[in-house]
Amino acid sequence: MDLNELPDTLRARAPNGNDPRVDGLVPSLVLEPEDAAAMAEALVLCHQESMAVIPIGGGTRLELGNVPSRLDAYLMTSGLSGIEIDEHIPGDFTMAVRAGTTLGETQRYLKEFRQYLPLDVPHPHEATIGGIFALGEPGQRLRPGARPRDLLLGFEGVLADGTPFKAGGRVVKNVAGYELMKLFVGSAGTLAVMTRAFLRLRALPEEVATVAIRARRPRSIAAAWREVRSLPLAPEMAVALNPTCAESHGLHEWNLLLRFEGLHEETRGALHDVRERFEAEVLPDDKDPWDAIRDFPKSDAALVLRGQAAPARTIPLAESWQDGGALIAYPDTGIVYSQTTDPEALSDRRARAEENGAAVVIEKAPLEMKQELDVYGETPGGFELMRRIKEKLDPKNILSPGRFVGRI
Amino acid sequence: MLSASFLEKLRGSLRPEAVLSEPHHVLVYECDGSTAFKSTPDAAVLPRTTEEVAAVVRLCSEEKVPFVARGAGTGLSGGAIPREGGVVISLAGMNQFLDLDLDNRAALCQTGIVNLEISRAVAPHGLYFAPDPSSQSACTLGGNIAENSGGPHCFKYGATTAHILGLTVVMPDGEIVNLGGPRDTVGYDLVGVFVGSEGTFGIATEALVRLMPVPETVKTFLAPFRSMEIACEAVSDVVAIGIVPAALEMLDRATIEVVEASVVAAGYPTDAEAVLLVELDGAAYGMERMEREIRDICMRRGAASFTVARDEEERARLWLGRKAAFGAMGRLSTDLYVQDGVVPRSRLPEVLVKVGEIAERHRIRVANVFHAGDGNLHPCIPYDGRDADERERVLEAGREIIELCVAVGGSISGEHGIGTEKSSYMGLLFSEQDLDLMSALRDVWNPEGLCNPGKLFPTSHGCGEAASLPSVAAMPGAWI
Repeated sequence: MDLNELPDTLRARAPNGNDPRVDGLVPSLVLEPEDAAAMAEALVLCHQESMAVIPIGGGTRLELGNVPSRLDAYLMTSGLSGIEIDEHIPGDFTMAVRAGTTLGETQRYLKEFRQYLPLDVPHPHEATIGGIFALGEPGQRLRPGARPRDLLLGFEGVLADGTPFKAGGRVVKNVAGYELMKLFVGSAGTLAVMTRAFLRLRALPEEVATVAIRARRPRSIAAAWREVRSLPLAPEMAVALNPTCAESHGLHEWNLLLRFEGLHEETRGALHDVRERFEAEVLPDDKDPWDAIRDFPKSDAALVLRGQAAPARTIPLAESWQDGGALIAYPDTGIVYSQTTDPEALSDRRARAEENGAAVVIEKAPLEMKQELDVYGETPGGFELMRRIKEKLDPKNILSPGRFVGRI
Repeated sequence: MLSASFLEKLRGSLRPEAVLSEPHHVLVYECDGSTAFKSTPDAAVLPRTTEEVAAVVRLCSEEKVPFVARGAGTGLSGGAIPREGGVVISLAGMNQFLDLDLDNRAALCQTGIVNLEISRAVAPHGLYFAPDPSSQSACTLGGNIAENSGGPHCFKYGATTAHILGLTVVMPDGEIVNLGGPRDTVGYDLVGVFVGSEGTFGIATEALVRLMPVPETVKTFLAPFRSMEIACEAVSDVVAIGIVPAALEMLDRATIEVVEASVVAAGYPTDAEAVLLVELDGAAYGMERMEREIRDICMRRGAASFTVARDEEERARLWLGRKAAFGAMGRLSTDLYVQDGVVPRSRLPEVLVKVGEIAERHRIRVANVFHAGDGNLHPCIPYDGRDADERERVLEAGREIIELCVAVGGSISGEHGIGTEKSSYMGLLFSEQDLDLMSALRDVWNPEGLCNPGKLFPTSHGCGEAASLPSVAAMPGAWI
């Protein structure tokens, strides 16, 4: 393909040393469309030429997913950045933002209005809104209706053949049409490329406080969590850290960290109740651990696993994976992240997970290992439907081919 | 018309008494809560299990007979009517509470269970099921799933979609699939996209639902105002300070009067132009301050008073007036048309003024009762369905209200769904490509189009059709 013959709006170029690699692969072409119309144009081109593309935002989570079955081009969303100030209605707690905008920039802008997006994803200063929703990682918030999928009121995007579309709306309540937002969130770049998002915002809390409940054994942590749940406490976040992970936060033994947000009276009342019942330490503001927890795992880990258990099996799963490596567990959602320098730990951890009725997703592993397996492990219920949805929306299989569940 | 052999096969796959085909038996399935759209099925079946539903669906699929699932028939958008005849599959008998998983705070239920029954069943454990549509004492879980139902308390806790963990679905070819579950699963969020698909993707027969702890403290406040616009400003002020009430509801004078004259009289002051109903829930800490801040806002905005419900009895009475307001409107006229538009909350005051102007222009009455916190309007238009001219004016006003909602950046439905009623309005919100994408998705789930045909989509995707409502001739009978 002669790059000079492509429209300038696509900003086509050959890859260079600064471009990321996906599982060791580099495409022959990089497209950086300058706006949403050019994004559609770029996908028309890729579709016509049957070129396999991977949409890339900040490139912060490219290790996720299976090894691509094909790769011809990167489709960068960096041209689609910027907050649409006219579309931010502070009184409605809604905003529009272009998909290539970073979360960090969005939060900086919103802070002036004492608002924020309750998204807690690794590396927010590089991660983009489009990428965050494409991955749909569950985040740390507990309240129903506060997960990433609940924040996306609507969006505009482009299908694999270059057709632009929109879904949902801009208001906080809306049941007109199918919930395409739910389909897109977590689809990992395999169904469409988001160009613009309509988002629901929250008011910054008056106060934030974190308390660490310490215990020697994981089952004491599980018991503490059960007790916390039985009280009228309403933590915004809850996470268990194993001793290795706790050490890095200046804590010892197993810890259950609870974060409270709200009015001064609410956080103080919650802290008081927790300290009355448990051996607990209130963490000073300058020791706020949540950003570091959010950015887990550390980049030097050879193997990073995400366990997905029923909530009641979270701590048992974490305990069964306990072999010295750092580990964090979200007891309300059943998600356990574990990292280790020993890739051989995989088969044992999978066996332990199975004993706990949990699934295992490999988030990071050596390339030779990834080439041999499906990192998503299980084939979920309804997989045939998923395959057919992919086939219908991307018949030439050009969007991130092979990277998703069951090598969709 | 179904063949005798098909009916025989249906009877063979269920109990004989579970298949109804006499005209006077199937007549009750001709409409839902909005009686505007009527279409009688050729047969209705009353399965008890997922396998029985699958057997019926398989037969329908083999013989190319359209079918529609139905819960309690309380929907307000004509979503459960059999537009093309065929078979209505009533899930009302599939009302079993199957399993309680206290450790994971989840309950497995058949989808014909009545919404409120779930909360009743788990109340001894201090838990409840959060979605609370006004019809919750009658509507079924399956209907809530199909419509992604809201309710006053979804302002804080999200609509039904935030509370469904897993589903057993009978696909339109009769295959049974299990989606989601108690733990996060990988792959596309099929549960998320199924909820709100208005019965066009398949039939959910069992659902694993999230249970929430009953809040330690609940406080309910009532503030009357001298104008709707000012009451709306108070709502915006409350939200702006970052307090997230469990509910923020509003009733206008016309609604107050009718409620107070009815058996569900709640003690709303009849000289107010609007009453604001606010509920806070959660831990006791901070409740006092939140109450003070909300009281200050209301008084600053000129509320005539600020009443705190003294006890559970008073609280229940305040809510009954709100939740039974639609029913109370039966006093006003023979028929009632309930709209369900959404607008950005900040546009509520001007939209309410314009709704009043529309009503005046068309010489109709409008009573407003709505979810002020999320801008979800329910203008209720009482009318006499026997008066063809009045009926035309009501429909025209309804269309203008919806167009107004869209013009200010809102939506054509906040919780009642599109169904039959609003399929012709979809072009106001969505382009042909948008609708093509949605229909492509429907075709994946429902390739033959036999599962709840004729819903959601305009018969053509052109915007021209968006302006047209079903003709009066096609709307015999009455709105609720």
